[in-house]
Amino acid sequence: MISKELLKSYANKLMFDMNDDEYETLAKEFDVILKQMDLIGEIEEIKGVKPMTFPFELDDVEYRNDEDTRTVSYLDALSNAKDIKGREVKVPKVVD
Amino acid sequence: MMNDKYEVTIGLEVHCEVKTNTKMFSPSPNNYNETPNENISEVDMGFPGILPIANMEAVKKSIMMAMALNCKLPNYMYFDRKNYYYPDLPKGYQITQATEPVGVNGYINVYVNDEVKKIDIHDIHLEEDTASLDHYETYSLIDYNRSGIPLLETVTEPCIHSADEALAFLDSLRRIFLYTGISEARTDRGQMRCDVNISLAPKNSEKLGTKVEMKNINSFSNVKDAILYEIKRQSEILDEGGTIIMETRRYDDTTCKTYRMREKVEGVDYKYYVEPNIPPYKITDKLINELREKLPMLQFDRIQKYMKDYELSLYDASILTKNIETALYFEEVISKGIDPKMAANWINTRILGHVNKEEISINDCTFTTDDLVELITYINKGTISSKQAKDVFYKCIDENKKPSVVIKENNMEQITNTDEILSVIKEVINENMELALSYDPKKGRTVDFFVGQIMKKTRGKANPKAAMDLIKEELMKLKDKS
Repeated sequence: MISKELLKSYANKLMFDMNDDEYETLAKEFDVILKQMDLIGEIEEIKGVKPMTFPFELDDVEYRNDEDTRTVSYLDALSNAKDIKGREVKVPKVVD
Repeated sequence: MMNDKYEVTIGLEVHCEVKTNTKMFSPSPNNYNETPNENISEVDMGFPGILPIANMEAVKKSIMMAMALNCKLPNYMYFDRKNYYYPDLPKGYQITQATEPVGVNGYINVYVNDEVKKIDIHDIHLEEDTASLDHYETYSLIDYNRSGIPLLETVTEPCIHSADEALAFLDSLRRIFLYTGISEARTDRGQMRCDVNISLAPKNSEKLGTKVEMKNINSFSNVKDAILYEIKRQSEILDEGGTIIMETRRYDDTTCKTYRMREKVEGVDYKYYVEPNIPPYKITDKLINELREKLPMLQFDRIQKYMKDYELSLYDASILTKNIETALYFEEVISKGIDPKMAANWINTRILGHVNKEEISINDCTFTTDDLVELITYINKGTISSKQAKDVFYKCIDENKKPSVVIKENNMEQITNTDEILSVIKEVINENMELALSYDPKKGRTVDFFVGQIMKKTRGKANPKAAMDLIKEELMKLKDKS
């Protein structure tokens, strides 16, 4: 069971917070998700099955050649930023 | 540092930026740029709808590095998402390798002072660098130039037991990056950064002590100082019966001390899962063979070869192999028949002295391997003395001329012809007959005087050894007659 306390602990690790109603809603959603997982758990003979990460086994995948460069102008790139200073994005002081 | 009461155990995590034209998953340039947000694209900034495509050159270089570290390679190149929130990570996750790193279970041998130490490598994985943050009084600024630069993280086993061993490993690792051209590994540009995990336990204890982590130390000398400081700090706590707290600390190079950043309560859950946007890439035997052929002989193996095959000292071999350019220069000179010890002596003193003073690469030195071969051959033939050779060398550098030209222009060729020297000797004896007749072989002064006179008459061009041998012979003849 995913308790409200557990969700709070994860929210804390992920550095965000929610109000009590939102935690309630999320906890209820997890109840449904866990039931679905239990359902999958009931399927027999799946222990030796390798988890599927990609639908097809491809042996001819090509990655990108390290040649042509392309950039976006800083004005375009920062146009959605809430606050900028000079050519950089300005955020509240981060000290870790 | 030896510690009498406690066993020091250190593990290192070293991040090093890979040298490529473009970034790990985007086509923006991978070069050092001091203008903020110049080398950026939508992929580096984690805009919605982006599709990262892996850079094949970075993948190849990561495989080469895994080979250089004697690691086991995977069958496929997989990438994973490491999920965490921080302002320098615009996507909210870093693309890295967690389940199948490009190399596992490796090792390298390093020299710690004059002893060989094997350092075990837990794994090496390829990932993307984060953006860089600059902190000010009330705000922070984000520059995304670094975001997405290919990064290789090398993780050692906790098998290091002193600051000297840690430093020897870091230096060897850096030289592998430079030898192979995988990275420029410049610590002054933050291209190589190190996290240090350190613990102290009573000697002969079976359990390791509590681990303290020091993050992002950006120079090797700081790594050494941070380790020495932590050994002292933790020893003092344990001596007083205290307990070490599992925590992350920051090293401050102005005070040379470490400061607590945060307590590490439990391992952070990064919710790793396979990156679905990047299909796995099959690492074929053909690719492995192609990359293995590109790997040069590395510093450790070259040191061993120079000591065994050329009978050089560890000191000389280490200097010659500090960078591959110098090693190749040396090898080219001896391939032309020059005595390895003589070549090593010239390169390590005169040539590297000049190269280091001018802050240039040996490849840019105007005194070529052919020039050194020519110069040493002149010494060996007795055409010039070792002392004259030094003058010739500096004239060659200053005037950008060949040794043969400098010797000719300055009339430096020694007189080695016996008849020519003998005629001068006869002249000198005639002028100082009284002294010549009083010659006593037990006293060296007379010979020294005559050699001095011969050198004066030949303007220093007579071969000193030939002159000395001949004057002794002539004086003895004179003595026997009288």
